[in-house]
Amino acid sequence: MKNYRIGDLVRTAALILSACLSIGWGGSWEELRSAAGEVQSVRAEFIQEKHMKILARPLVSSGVFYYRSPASLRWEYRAPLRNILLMDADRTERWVETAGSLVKEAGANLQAMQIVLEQVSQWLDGRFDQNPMFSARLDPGPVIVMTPREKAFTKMIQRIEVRLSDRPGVIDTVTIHETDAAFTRLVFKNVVLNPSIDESLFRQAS
Amino acid sequence: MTGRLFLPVLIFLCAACARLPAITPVPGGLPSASDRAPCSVFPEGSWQFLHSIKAELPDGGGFTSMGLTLLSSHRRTNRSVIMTVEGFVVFDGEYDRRLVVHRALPPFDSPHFAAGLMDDIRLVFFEPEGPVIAAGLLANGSCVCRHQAPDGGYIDVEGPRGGAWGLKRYSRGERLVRSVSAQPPAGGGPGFPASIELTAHGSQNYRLALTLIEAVAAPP
Repeated sequence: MKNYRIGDLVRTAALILSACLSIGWGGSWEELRSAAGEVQSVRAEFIQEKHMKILARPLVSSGVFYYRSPASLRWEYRAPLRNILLMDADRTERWVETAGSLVKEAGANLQAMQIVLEQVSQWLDGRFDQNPMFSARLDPGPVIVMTPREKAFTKMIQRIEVRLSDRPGVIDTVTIHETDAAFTRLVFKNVVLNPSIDESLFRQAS
Repeated sequence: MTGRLFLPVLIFLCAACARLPAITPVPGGLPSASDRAPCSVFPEGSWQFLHSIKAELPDGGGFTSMGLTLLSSHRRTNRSVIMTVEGFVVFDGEYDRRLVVHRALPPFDSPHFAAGLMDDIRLVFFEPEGPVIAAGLLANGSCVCRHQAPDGGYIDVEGPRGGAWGLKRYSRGERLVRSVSAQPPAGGGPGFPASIELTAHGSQNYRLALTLIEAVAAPP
């Protein structure tokens, strides 16, 4: 049975989201693949809600997200705890605010990052149905439902649902179901496709 | 060179030889063991706490995570969830007279981790089990209540002083194994510590720094 590290999972989830944001709107895999070629960069704000049956109220966080093809990502939480995941080419870093300043966390798994980047290139081509980690189906809505191909991975994520917006190239929400009793919903807003993004955003946390 | 070696060795030996500090009785005495007012520092009722947790490990490594704790002081139960900073659950355990692990992903999937984590959480959030066997003042002037723990060890609850309080856990052999330091509450909140630092002493020493993000009253 293949073992998955937590770091792999987090990066995978983040990159799935980035890929989802940059793929197109449509009712078929062909339309998704076609639209994928149109998007080179994305900027979006997001609100993340963590739902668990045990919670008195959901945990809410928010932030902003930048993506640039082929493999540059900045996933930044601004509240309640500021932390930033940076990925650019063969480099990945996590920065967490500690005592008022951003501190780089050790332990970034570059090898895992390379694996993920190979998958991202597939997603950016709209080839969800050829993803080695997730099988995907396109439901009415339209909603893309992704389920892990390997049983070991279902212990971490049962499925991911991506609801596309009416606006081509934009999605409304991503829901990550961890268990029957816990899911995370990301709601995107102010999505900008193909903005000009400063190179430094992918290299510097501050 | 000798001096460089001597200091760490001395520190290690001092830590290894730590003993129960003396408690000076207060004239008139502290309230009886049934009245915990001088050492009552733990949350009362049912609460949902969210903390950021910065861990420092023996090998010099560390990581930041999020800790969710739901507790009932009346039932002495707690549910504790460790998440990545992105909110992904890596550990979910519950204690209600016994430990039940609902979810544990590597590297948080060892039984020792689950038991140790739950011990630490219960040390920080619940009044110690076991009777108060001594109460009075420490040399630094702190008010202290000493509990005899069921395992034969001792737990000293110190404070509060200016909103801050502390806690020390000793083994049956009177060796210091845990210390906790809680800082005064941030203004405007329900009065829980703004931050809590737990240090594990011994060969597997580590340090956890908890910063309170939110405290929400939970259904009883």
